[in-house]
Amino acid sequence: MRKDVVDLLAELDTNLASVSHPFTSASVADRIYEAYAFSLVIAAAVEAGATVRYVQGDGKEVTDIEFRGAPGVIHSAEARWTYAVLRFGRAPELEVHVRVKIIGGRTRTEGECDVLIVEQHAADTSRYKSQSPSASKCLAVIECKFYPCTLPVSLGREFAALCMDRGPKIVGYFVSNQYGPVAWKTIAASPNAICEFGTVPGTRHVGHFMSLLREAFKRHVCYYDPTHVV
Amino acid sequence: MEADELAEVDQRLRAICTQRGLTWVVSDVDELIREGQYILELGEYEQSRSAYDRRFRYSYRSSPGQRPSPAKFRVTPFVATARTLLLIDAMLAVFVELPAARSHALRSLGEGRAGKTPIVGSTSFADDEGRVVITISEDTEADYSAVVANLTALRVAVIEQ
Repeated sequence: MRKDVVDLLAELDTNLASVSHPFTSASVADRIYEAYAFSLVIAAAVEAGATVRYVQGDGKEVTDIEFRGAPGVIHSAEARWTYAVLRFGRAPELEVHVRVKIIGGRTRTEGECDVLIVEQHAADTSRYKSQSPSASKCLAVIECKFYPCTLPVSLGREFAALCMDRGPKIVGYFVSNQYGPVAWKTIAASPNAICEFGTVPGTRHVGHFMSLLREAFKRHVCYYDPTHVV
Repeated sequence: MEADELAEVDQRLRAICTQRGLTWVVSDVDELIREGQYILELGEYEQSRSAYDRRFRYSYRSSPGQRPSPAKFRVTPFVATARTLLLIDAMLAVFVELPAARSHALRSLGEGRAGKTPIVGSTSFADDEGRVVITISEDTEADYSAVVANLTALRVAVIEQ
């Protein structure tokens, strides 16, 4: 091996040893990316004229956010999980949850959502009945995937199957930092699945994703309070 | 770069990843290598169009009025250089895109947006027992620039040789 390449590899090893980075598992990467997607939802809501509160399961407002490290349920007895409450004019409030389950429309089985936007009355019903909300009662589901290389086709297939099961009333958004031509083709075949690849800070895809969210908010606001300017 | 030299770089990079907490990156790259590289196949329509371009004649269409066929892929194995570049690019994604996404989330949630959102103090993920498993916070981010510079230089070396 050439000396400069040997030196580069040695230097890389030394530098990596000195930074003690936290990115030591796919799970950590996905959690960071979910927090990023959550922040984009909040930013899109604020730009569309919403006011935002962060709330715990017991209704107490908080400023320190604690999300579920493992998939959970909206009706969890644990009060500490945080979600956002969005208010657009006089339209019923929306809730934004991270890592909760919803019930599929066709199979009636519970499936995890990385980020879920759901009407508050549906979330309240879920808490009252101790049952996850049905997919048809949700506004949008966002699947977040941080991947270090091109997305494998299996991810596209899984997401397309989930969207198919959840039914046509709910839109599924697949956001990732990466691209995947075959995954894209697979997702695009589902009428209620939308993907926005390459969504990382500083790219145009962030703006496109936020426009998609704005459209979802607009549908909700238009239905309940079309006097509110989005 | 000669094949044996390239294999040595690849092996060394994999060893570094394993020692420095990036085994998951190697796994994801290996999954992609197993899947293979998808190459877009030229459809009948594109072939006839290229014939038109070359010969300066009206393009031949085997089935007039027929819609061009959708994209088709063929799968080929990644060549050695591409395999090594996949790993380097994957490491670059981890040390460029992941810190950028984290910084953006922290900045965006922490700024309050003119009173329209509360100013978030901290963001974390916890397990069912309440133990914090991941805290979204800044760390020694400035140091990643040295790692990124090394990986970028290595990428150039692999391509050029």
